[in-house]
Amino acid sequence: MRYGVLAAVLGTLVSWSYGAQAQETLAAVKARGELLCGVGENFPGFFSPDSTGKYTGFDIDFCHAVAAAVLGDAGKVKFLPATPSARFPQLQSGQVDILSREVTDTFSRDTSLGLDFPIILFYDGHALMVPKSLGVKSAKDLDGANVCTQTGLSTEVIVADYFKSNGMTYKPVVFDARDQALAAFESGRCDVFSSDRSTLFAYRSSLANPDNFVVLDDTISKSLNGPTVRHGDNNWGDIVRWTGYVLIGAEEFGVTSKNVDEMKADANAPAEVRRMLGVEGDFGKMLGLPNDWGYQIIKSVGNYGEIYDRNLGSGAKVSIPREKTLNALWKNGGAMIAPSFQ
Amino acid sequence: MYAHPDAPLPKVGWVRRTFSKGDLAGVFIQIALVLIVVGGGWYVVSVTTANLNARGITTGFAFLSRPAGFDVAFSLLPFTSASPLWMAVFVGITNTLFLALAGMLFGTLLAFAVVSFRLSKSPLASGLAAGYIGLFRNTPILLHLLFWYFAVFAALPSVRNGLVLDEAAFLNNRGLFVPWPELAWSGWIAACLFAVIPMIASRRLRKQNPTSNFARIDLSLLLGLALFATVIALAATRWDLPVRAGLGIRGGAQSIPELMAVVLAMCTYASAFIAELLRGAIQGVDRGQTEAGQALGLRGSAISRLVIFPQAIRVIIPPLTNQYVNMIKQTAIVSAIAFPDVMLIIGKTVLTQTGQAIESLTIVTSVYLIISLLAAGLMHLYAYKLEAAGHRR
Repeated sequence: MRYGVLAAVLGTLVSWSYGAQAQETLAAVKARGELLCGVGENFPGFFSPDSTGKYTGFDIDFCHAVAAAVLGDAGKVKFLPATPSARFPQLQSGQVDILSREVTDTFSRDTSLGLDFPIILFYDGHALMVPKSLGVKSAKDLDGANVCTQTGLSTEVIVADYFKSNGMTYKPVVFDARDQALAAFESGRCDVFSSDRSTLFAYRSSLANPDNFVVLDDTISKSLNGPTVRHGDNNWGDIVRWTGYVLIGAEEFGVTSKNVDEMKADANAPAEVRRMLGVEGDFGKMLGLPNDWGYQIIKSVGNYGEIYDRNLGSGAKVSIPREKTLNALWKNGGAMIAPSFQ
Repeated sequence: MYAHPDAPLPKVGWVRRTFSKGDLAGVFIQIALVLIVVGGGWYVVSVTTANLNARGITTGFAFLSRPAGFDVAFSLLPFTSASPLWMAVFVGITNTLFLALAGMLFGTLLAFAVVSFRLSKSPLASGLAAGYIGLFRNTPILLHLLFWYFAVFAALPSVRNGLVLDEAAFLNNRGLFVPWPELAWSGWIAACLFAVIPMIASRRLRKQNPTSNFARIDLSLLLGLALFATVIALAATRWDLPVRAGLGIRGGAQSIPELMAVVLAMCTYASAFIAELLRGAIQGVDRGQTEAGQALGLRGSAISRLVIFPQAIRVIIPPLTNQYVNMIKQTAIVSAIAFPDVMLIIGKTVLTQTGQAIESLTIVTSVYLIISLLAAGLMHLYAYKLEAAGHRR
């Protein structure tokens, strides 16, 4: 991994010094005929390779959606692993067109790293996993705890802030690699393992005895996660943002991968749906895309709800409840809402 | 070496040949080459900076004055999450130096023990030492590190039912907790001064009576250590005892398991390599030297201490320098087991918190480069001094 970072930085340096301006991401993707999508190594539910090496997950489906919108074929995506420390240089240098790996939007990332976060697709927050045998019911009982975390995420700062503001002491135990962090936590080196709640559910399922561990109800931070693109290429940012809004809007209007053909043919469908699917108006062209971009997205990956259920629903390997969270549709009290297609 | 008059002229490099002939064209080529290298470097740097700025990426080291925001598990300097990032850089450097020094010191001491077994006449002792050396020299250090950490220290009893000595010292899977003396700076300085007295005395004594037991460096070191401890115990106004607090233990001096695992792994690993270097150097000293010592009526231990070792040490300095520099660089693997060295703090945490990849890795690179070059420089200086002393006699 150390070499991964070095390679990424070297690549960044080389591309920067060549002055290869990647302003025209859309043109580059079209010319290449393939979307380069940076994902993580393995995070069940969000991005993980199966036994044949094929990636599946929530963030994987989003890249398929972008490929469907831009190239008309959801399959034309190349997934490249982007480790926590190498991911930003990889995007900055143009080795990938988009990062789709649950990157958390923060002020300093948005303003000083040349990154843009076009849309939030998953609301998360840091939580704490403890062994049941610790007998702890609330995060407020954790004074003096040893906290295992993995570097490369915002976790270290969030944990420091939380313990400090609650007047508690703790000892950080920061690992470079996830496997070692989990092994140390499982062996009892730490009382607490902290990460995003979604991550903790995924990690817990990979422990030898998941039932011996519990994720506390306290949420100690907010994480607004979504795809990440380079700062400055506004057209590409618009494409990524509206791809997300098509997913959310389609769920709101009840457009699914199964009924999208009928909806498209239905002359009585709501005008917004007809514009979204490219039957009316030329919204696709305004983005520099084929006019049926919205149709292609829904036809190939389905709407936001379908993607969520497929990867994180009750039947999936990692199940993260959606009701009563910000990830629910706005009509159900959540934060998932798309601007009008007008 | 004297060259035979008929021998062909030694081949000299193209550069020197050009200059020795006073070839003006050659001089111009040299100047042009320098200009190309400097100009090329300048071009790369300026274009990179311009492009970084064009993309809205902040460059430079100004970010080091921002507050760190994170805590560090083990620090020899006062550090909290409110400290600036440059302070974190110094914490990383001191931790790396601490590891390297502890590894070198204990590794070298252990190597002396191993080599004395290896060269012993007893086939059992010699065989054991050979096995030890073989085991460590032929396996990767990461394996040893993970072994000590996950198989030994992680297997210690939990913090709630670990070993307790008199409610003052604790050993469990959170580390080793011992009482720590609280005393004024003057107390520490006095203790250090007392500690060096036996060493100075033994140096004096060595000049008058080299074979005296009190001239031995190991004895004077032990004596110095005992004096140091006595002064501390007398001067301490209060002992800070570790006590259970919340889920952990507070107060006292704590040695985290990561530190113990990495020091053990590094010193056992390095001891095997250093022992082999020592053996080679000792066996390289001519047998006649031992016989000469015997002829003078010296005892076996005095021969090795006064005759063999001073000669062996001159041979061993260059390979030992190599070994030490390797150890300094090897400390970087500890990020695998969560010890906060310069690689983990700067190369990982600071890099990912700030996103300043080029700057962070530049700092890490410079730190290793400077420490390694300094270590090599000091060893060369020592070798030079030995060399000079050798010539004078």
